[in-house]
Amino acid sequence: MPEAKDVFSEIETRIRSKPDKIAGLNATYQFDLTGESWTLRINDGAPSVSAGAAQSPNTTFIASTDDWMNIATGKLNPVTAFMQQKLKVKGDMGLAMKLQGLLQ
Amino acid sequence: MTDMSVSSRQEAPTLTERQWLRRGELLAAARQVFERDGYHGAAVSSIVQSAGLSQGAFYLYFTDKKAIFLALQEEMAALLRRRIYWATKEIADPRARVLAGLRSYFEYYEEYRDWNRLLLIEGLGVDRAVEINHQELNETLAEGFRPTMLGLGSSTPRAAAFALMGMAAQLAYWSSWHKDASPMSPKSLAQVCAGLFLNGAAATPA
Repeated sequence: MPEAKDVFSEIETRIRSKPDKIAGLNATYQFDLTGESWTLRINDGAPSVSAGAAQSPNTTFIASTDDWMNIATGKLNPVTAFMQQKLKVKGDMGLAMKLQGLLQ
Repeated sequence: MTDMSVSSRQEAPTLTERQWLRRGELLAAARQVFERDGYHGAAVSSIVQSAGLSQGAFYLYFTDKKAIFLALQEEMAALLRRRIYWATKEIADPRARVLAGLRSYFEYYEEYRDWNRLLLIEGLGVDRAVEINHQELNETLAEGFRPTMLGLGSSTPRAAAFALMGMAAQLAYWSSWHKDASPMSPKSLAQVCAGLFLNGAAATPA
């Protein structure tokens, strides 16, 4: 099982590989896991990931670290996780959908 | 105050949390109905009934039955890609990578057996878009296995990757044919498939 930092690093790489889909996008995503937070910023199409919480994110994902890792590695369907309240989303749902699309 | 303003040239759909939940309920219900009734036997009315929503709610999120089928197909393909990617990412030895990738593949196929049978038997004939999605998935997986095939010494890594996936797909189908009791576990299927691919039929364990 990879660690959370590996997964977030991969998310950054994956988003960076799709410049046409994130051109002009500015957004801050926060991920609140078990005892840790991560932030993904996309600044005019340039993604960057850092450990820790954002000051005021546009969209926040909340899940246990185990559930989040299962989602990220394809063991848990994010739609199912959301419906089972294993994954909660606060803030701009449109941006949440967009991120899901970027990570497909 | 937000860290950064939100703007995009490609406008993201604005959905509330409730709407996101409704969309998820429709997708979950659709998979159940498709698996139960088949694509052609499934009706939008059955999907909304299963989801406990109104017929009108369906069309807020999907244009028709084909659209929700395509959305499901993309969602399921993403799961498979992620599983294989993370299962093989840290493995340097190409033979071990083949085995780990196959095991992920067969575990996925076992877990979503009814969906995979539906997609193979009925789904691919539904529409060209379904076939294109399926081919894109195969292309992505083949590209992912390309370095592994090069590591194995293949001079035709792309063809080798497709050959591996073909073997795996046929074994998965064989396994899914035995609906109530698979003849082999995902782990055993992966070992047999990897053995056949890497060593040839003569070396396959009895």
